[in-house]
Amino acid sequence: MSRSATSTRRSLVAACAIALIGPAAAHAQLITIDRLADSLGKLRRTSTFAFRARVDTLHASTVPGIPASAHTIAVTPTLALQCPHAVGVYAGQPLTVYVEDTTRLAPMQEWWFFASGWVIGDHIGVRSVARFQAARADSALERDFLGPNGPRAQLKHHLEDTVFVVTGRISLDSVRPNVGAAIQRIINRGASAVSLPFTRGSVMLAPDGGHVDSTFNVAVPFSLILTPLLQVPDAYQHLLFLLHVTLNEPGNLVTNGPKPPFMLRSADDILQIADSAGVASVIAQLPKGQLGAPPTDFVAQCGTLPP
Amino acid sequence: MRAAIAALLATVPPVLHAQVRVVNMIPAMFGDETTWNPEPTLAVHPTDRSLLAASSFLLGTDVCEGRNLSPMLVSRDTGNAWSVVCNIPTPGLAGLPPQDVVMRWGSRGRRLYAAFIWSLPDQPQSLQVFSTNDVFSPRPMQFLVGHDTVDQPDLLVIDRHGHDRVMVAGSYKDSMPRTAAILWADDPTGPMQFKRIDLEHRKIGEQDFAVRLDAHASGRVYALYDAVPLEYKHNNTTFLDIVVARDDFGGASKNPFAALREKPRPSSPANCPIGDGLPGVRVVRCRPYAYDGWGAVRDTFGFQRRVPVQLSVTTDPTDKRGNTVYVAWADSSGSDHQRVTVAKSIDGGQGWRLLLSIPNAMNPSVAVDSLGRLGFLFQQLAYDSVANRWVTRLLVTRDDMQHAREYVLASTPALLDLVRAQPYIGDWAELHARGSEFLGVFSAANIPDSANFPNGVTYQRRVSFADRMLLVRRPVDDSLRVDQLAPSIDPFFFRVGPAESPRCSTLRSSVPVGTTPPSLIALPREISDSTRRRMSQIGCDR
Repeated sequence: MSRSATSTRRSLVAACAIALIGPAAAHAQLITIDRLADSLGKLRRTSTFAFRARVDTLHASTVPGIPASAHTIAVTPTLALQCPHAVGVYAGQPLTVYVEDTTRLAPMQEWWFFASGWVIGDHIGVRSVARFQAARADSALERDFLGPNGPRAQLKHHLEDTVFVVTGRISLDSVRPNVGAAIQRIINRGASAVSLPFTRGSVMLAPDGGHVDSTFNVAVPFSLILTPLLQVPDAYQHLLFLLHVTLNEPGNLVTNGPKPPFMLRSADDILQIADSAGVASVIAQLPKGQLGAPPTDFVAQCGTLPP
Repeated sequence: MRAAIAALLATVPPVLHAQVRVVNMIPAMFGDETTWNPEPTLAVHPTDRSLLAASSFLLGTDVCEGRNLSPMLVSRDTGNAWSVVCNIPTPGLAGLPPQDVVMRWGSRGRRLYAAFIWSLPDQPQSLQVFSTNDVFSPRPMQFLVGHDTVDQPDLLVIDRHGHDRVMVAGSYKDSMPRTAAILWADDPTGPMQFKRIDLEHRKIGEQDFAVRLDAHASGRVYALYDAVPLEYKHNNTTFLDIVVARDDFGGASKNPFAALREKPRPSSPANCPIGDGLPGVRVVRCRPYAYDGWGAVRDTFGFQRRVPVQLSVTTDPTDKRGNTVYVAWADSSGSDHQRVTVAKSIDGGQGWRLLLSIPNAMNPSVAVDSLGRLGFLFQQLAYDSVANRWVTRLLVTRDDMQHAREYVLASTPALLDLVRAQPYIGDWAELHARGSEFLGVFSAANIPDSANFPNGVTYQRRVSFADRMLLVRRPVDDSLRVDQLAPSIDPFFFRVGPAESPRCSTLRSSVPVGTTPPSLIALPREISDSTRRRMSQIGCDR
């Protein structure tokens, strides 16, 4: 792989995984490159798999139990842009893609596939949501992921009204399933002010660089109580807490810092840092003095190094 | 050549030849998941022995179609390998998967049915029923019926003139008091609407929990449910009646599920009398129950919440008239947190005899195989010097628990750091009989430790038994590094054959003649003799 290709790959992958889950999936199989810029963000939200792949065989299947048909093709991913946490690394292994039609597809071609999970066992089968010829889409994908509407830009925007950014790696021996269980643990301790249990021993990116002591308002919205904090393996158990000045509204999960108090406004303020390299990059671009140094222990997903 | 064959045989896992097979159901390519998977269900195909479907609180948010689909598990090789298939419609999926999922195949195996509870925007506890004629289809399952405010559904599908009669039992909370009820329809993919049968004929406090169903080839359908007696409606402690109802015409009698009535008799005892002549025989009355709806992180019962879902009913296929029926339930006594009891009737549910009670246990499930052997599955909390352990045990008996083969399918630690939410390992496990073998599912901690699985275990996900670790591949420096993955609760499938383990004869020969076998309620760790202890784990005749 050439140096420029490697750079592109790293940039793309580094920007891939802050994607938040969005509305229902689109079913268009073929989207023109001209429309790509507009649709890419939606595709990223509605697809669970995004990868560049070489078409191996048309009307074939690599998944036992899935017969080959006019709708199935066998491909080998060469670059994974979006990786479901439960699946992990999958580039380099043959996949089966269900497509509505095989128009313009031929063996040995390289295509970008945006897809949803279909059958995942010893092998992977996905349903294609959209596909683009790789040679034409590489630059557009890079532009979108790194451009003003890409995940990096969205994160930067999100950080603009954030007072504290707390990142943490969840330790294996702590209770960390969801907000509700963490609160339960605090209640059982009978403590009124404890450290965030899911950031033990981790880096706190606060103006003073110190740890944030906290107390929790038990009257947390039900949806927030059920917010999973651990959907990802240990390697990816980095969370990003975006703390805002609290209004002390009933139902908010409140953390009391020195002054003023802070809060997590919603589940959106607790982000899993799958694309930690991207987060580090954005934080590094913020004005000096606003936040501490970018963390150094992040591991990027999908098979590449941080940029 | 001989050496090559010997080497080849040496690589074949011994589990393939065992009478007991335990399989961690998380697929290989789904092996980086760390969610917790309680509440397992298993659908056994009636004609294709290789085909199984299952579910266990599987979250598909970032794998399936965003917020629209959740996965199920499917095996095409009788449970050796499992695949996740994204086909359960769950619009608005966020942090929780479909709940209380139960899955059953149609009577001739043409369709798979699934019922579960799903939160809709205006209805947080809605029953949803779907079906498909192809579990591997890239299309979602087909919607059949929905019903607001239902809890703990159970599914029964029987053959009715070549069509599927589908019954969906549960606690229907849209009536006052809440009541056990069934929705049913013939060939529900057609135009027929679902009809409702209310099972309760008495004035009760409420029926807030569960109903379980089973059918006999004669057309008899049994329903087992619990109810809070009116006398104890406002008591601080939960009390339960355990009730059996019966329908002799496939659930479609003119007066459905009223074939079984309590024989009128003088009221005794005065506070909880039995014998009112109404439909539904109460097997036991006013049993105390240590209700603990949400559990507590430091709960003494192995981090597991205690809710009265714990019911199971099965008929004996070798009794041509369908008169022989077994039930199992959970209640509590002063000396245990929760206990499970199995009882038998040989007169169609009129009279009952208690067979066995297991202390500190839950998730009872009963099934009878084609040889008339009763299988009794449960999960028991055992204490040792290291940690609490959840021990999943199967008893198989020919003589009403006078003697039984015992199998320890898993003995896994109850660990605080695996408490993701409640339930911890789930409110039920499932046992099914097919021919002369038993198949089932349970949930347990997924730490790959051979000592936790006395009958062996197969993992599809990456593990190191030597290090007792789940493994994950991490990309580092353009290569893959293998690291530890956080443990969690996983579903396990098991299959137990009809023969005794070949190791039993050797073990038995070293037991002194005249030695009394240990009690069936004794945990293996309580058996001091190591030979007897091993025999109590691998299903030796006794």
